[in-house]
Amino acid sequence: MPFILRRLGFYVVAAWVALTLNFFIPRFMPGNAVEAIMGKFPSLQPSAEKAIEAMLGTGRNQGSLLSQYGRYLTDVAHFNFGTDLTNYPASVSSLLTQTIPWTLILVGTATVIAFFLGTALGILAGWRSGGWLDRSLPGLMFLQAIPYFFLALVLLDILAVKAHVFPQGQGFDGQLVSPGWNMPFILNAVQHSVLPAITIVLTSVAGWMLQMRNVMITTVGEDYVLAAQAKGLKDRRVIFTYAARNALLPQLQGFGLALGFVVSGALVMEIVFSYPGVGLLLLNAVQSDDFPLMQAIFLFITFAVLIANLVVDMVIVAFDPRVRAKEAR
Amino acid sequence: MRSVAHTWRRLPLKAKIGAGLLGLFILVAIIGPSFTPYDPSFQNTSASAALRGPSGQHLLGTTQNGQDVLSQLLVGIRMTLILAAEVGVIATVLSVLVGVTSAYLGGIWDEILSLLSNVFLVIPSLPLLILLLGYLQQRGDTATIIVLSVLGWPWGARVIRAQTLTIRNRDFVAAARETGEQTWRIILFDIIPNQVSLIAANFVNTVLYAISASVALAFVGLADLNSWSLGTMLFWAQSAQALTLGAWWWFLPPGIAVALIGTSLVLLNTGIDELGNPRLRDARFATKVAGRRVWPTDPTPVLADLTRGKAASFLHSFSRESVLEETTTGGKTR
Amino acid sequence: MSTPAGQADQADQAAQAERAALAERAAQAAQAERAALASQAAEAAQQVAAATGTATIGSAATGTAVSGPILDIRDLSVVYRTPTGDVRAVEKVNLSLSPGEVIGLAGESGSGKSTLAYGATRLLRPPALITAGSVHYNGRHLDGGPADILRMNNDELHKIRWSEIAIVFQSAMNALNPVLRVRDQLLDVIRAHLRLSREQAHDKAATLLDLVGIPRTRLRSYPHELSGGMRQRVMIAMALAADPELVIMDEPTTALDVVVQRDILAQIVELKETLGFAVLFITHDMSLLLELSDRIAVMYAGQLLEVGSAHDMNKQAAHPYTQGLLGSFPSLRGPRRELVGIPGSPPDLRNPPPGCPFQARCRHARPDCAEVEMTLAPVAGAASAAHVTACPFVGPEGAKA
Repeated sequence: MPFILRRLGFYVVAAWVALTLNFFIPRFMPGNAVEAIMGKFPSLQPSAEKAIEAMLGTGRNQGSLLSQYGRYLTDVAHFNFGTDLTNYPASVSSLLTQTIPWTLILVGTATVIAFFLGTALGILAGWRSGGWLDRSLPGLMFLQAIPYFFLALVLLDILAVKAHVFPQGQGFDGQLVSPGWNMPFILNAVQHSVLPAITIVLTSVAGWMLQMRNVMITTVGEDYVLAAQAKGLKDRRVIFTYAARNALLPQLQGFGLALGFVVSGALVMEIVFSYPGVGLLLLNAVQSDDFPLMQAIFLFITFAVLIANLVVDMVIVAFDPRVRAKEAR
Repeated sequence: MRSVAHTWRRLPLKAKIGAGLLGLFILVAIIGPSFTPYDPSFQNTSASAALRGPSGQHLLGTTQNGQDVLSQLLVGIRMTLILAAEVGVIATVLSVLVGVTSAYLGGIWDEILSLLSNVFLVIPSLPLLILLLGYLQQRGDTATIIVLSVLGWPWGARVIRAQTLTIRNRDFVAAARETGEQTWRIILFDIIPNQVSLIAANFVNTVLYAISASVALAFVGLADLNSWSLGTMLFWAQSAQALTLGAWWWFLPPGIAVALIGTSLVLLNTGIDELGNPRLRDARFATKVAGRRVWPTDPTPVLADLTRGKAASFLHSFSRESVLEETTTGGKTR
Repeated sequence: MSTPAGQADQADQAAQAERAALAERAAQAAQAERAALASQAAEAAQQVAAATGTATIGSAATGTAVSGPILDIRDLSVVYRTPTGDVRAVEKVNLSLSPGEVIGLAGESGSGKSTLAYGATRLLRPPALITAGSVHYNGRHLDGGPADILRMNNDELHKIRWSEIAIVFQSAMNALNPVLRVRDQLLDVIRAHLRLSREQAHDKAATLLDLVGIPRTRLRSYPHELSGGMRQRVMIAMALAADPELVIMDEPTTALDVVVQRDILAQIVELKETLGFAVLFITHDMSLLLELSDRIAVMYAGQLLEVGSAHDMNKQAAHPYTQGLLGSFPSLRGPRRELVGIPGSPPDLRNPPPGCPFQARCRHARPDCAEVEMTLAPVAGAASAAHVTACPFVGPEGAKA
C-alpha cells in the first residue's frame, strides 16, 4: 500500500479514537456535569437542563448508547457542536470559526519559522560541533525550559508595558481598525502578532536545534559524507546535499510528533496576550465549565495536528526516495 | 556502587551540571519546607505587609495577601517535584509494561498496542488533559497525577518496544529461552536490565513533561488552587496582575524555578543520549588538538602545522590547558 | 520490504544475463569478436579521456612522462587521541607507488591499513592526528613537481581530491548518498572537477556507466534500487569520473558474494589496463592480492613488516607474520594446503611493546626481538633488492637465520 495511504489510514484511526474519547468522556466521568453547569449559570431556565443533558448524554431518555453515538458522529460531520453555554444562543461552531483563523495563522507561521530557524542553526551547530553555536546550546535549553506563558508574560511586561515597542496584547486594536480584508487591519493584526510569534519561536527553537544538531553529528559520521569530501566537493555542497539533506528526514519525523506539544504550549500562551484565538476561547470555556466548547476545541486541535502530520508525511515522501520505494509493498 | 561512580565519570560536563542542579532542587524539596520562615498560606492583608518587595523579613517579598513568597516557593518546589516524580514513575512503569508486552507477545497484540501508542502520541495531550480535568469535579493532585500518567506513557512504550525487539533476538536471550527459562524471568533479569539507560532517559523525559503540563494546567486554573505548587503560585500571581503591579518578586521566582528544573532535566537527558550514541560522544572531546580547534569535517590535522608559530597558538601556549596538552603529545598514558 | 531489493536483484540478473549473452556471442565469434569488445571498452575509455580534455595515456607498461613515484609516503605516523592515551594506529610507515602500479596493502582488521590510506589523503576524522611524516604526490595534472599532501591547505586538497586520488569505499551502500539519484551523484563529481557543458556532463555520466557495464537507464535509479554489485560498479564508475592517477580501493569486494566479487575484480583489472591508473588495494585477503597486485605490503599493528613483489611474497615470504597470513587463506590456484591461523591477538597500540610488535605471537620469537629497529631492509639472500622486511632474523622462506 502506498506510504501516504497507510498514513492516511492511521490518521483516520487516530481521529476516530479522538472522536470516541470525546464521546465517552462526558458520559463516564465521575461527578454531575449538568448540576455544575446549572449552578454556574443561574440565568438558565430549568427547561435548559434537558437540553444540556441531551448534549452531554447524561439524561435518562437518550436511547441506547449506540444510537447516541451514531447521532453524535452525524452531528460532528455536520460541524454541529451544539449550543454554547456562555454566549447562550450562539452555536459552538460559529465561535470556533471566528477564532480558528487567528490561531492557525499565528501558531502555524511561528511554528514553521521556529522549525526552519532551529533546523538551520542545528545544521551549523552539528557541522561545527564544539563551536560557539554548539556551546551556546545549554543557554538555549534554558529558554526552551521556560514555560511559554511565563516567557510571554515577561516579554509582554518588558517590551509592551514598559518599553511600548509592541502593543499590549489583543489581536488588533478595535479603536483604530475594524476587522476585514483591508490593509490597515492586516497591518495592525500583524503588528499585534509579532510578540506572540517571537515568544513561540524563542521557546521552541532550541528543541528543533538540539534535535537537528544530534542527527547532523550522526549523519556527518556516515560514509557518504566522508565520500563527498573525498570527492573534493565544495563544503557547501557536502553540508547541504549530503549531510543536512539526510539529517532532515528524522528531523521531519520528529516535527510531526512534537507538533501537538508545541501547539498546546502556544495555546496557553495566547491567554497571556489575550489573543483572540482558540487558546483564549479554551481558557474561557474552562473557567466557565463550558463543556461543549471544550470538547469542540479538543476536536479541532486534534484534527489540525493530524492534518499537519499528514502534510509532514507528504514532505517526507517528497524528500526520501526510500519511503517512496516502500510504496511498492 | 562502583558502576555508579564509573558512569558518573563518563558523563559529559553538561549532564553533570544538569544532575548537580537537579540535586540542588531535590535537596530544597526535601529540607526546604522545614525551613519556611512563615506558613505559606498565612495572610496579613494590612497595607504594611501586603505586596512588599524583598526585605530582611521577607527575603522574596510578599503577595497581595501578605503571604511570604519564599515560603510558598519552598513548599511549591516540593509539591511540583513530588507530583512530577509520581507521574514519572507511574508512566514509566506503564511504558515498560506496554513496550515489553507488545514486543514480547508480537502478532496481533503487538499491532494493537503499537497502534494505540502511536495514536496517543499524535493526539495533542494538553487539550485532552484540559478536557479530562474539566469534567472531573474535584481537582486534586490525585486527579492530575492519574490523568498525566494515563497520557504520559506512549512515547516511552514506543522506544522500549523497539529496544526490546532487538534485545529479544540477541544470543543470550535466545539461549535463555532455549533452556526453558520462564518468560517473566527473562523479562525481569535479561530484558529490563539491558535497557536501564533507556528507561532512565524515558523517566527524565516524563518528569519533564509532567512538570510543564502540570504548571500549564495550574496556570489555566485546572488544579487544586488552595495548595502551593509552582503552577498555582503562577496562577495567583497572574490573576492578581503581579507583573503589572510591578511585583516581580512574586512572579519571577516560581517561573525561573520551573525553567531551571526543566533545564537541569534537559541537560541530564542530553548526557544520557551521549552515553548511548558513540558519535555524539566522540563529538564531545577531540575537538581540540594541541590547543587548536579542529572541526570534525576538516582535513586530518598535522601536528607540525598545529604547533607551528601563529600568533594565536603562541598566546595559547601560555594557557594552563595547552601546557597540559603539549606535554602529553604522546597522550596521558597510564 | 523484499520488493525493492528483489527488483534490484532482478535488474542485476537481467544485466548479468545481458553480459552472459554478450559473452556467448563473443565465444562464437572467437578472437575477432573479443577484440571488438575490447576496442569498445577502449573506445569508452577514449571518450572519457577526451571529455576530460586530457590525452589518453597508455597502459602502465608503456609508462608516462612522469618519472619517480606518484605517491611517496615517508615516515608517516598517525595517532588517535583518546582520553586514555594515544592509539598509535600508523607508526613511521614508508611506502611509495609508481604510476600505473598496483600495490596491495594487506593485514588483519585493526592493523592500520585503512588508517594509512585515509591518513595519507587527510580524510581521517578526529580524534585522528598525523604526528609526523610526509606524503609527496606527483601526478601529471600537478605542475611544479611533487607536493606534500600533509602541507596542503583546504583549497589545494579540494583540487587533488578525486581528480588525482579517487577512492572506492568498502561498502558502496554506505558511501552512496541514499537520497540522490546515481546521475546526480556522478554529475556532482563531474561538475566539481571538469569544465563541461550541461550536455557534455550528462553524456559523460552515461559513458561512465557504459564503462562499468551498467545500463544507462540506471542513471535515474537511487542507490537502494541497485543490487550490491551494481552499487559497487557505480562507485567504481564514480571513482574514474575525473580520470584520477591513483585509485585507493578499500576492500571493494568484501561485502559482495563470491561470484560478483570475481566479476568486479576482473572489471577493475580491465579498466586499470585501459586507463592506466595506479591502485592501492586494501584487503585482508592475501590470495586475492597475489593474483591482482604488482607489489604487496604487509602491515601489522600500524607498521609495515614486509614489502615485495607478488611473486616474491608468494614464493619466498620472509616475515613469519606474512607466512602466517598466507597460511590463513586458501590459495585459489596451486596445491591445497592446510590452513594455519595465527594464534594470539595484536598488541595494545596505546602502549606498544618495544621492538617488533609481532614478537608475542611469533613462532620464532627471541629476546633480541624487543630491540629490533623497525626499518625495512632487503631480505637476506633474496632474489630482488626490492623485497624488504622489518625482521632482521629471517631469510626467504625455509632459510631461517
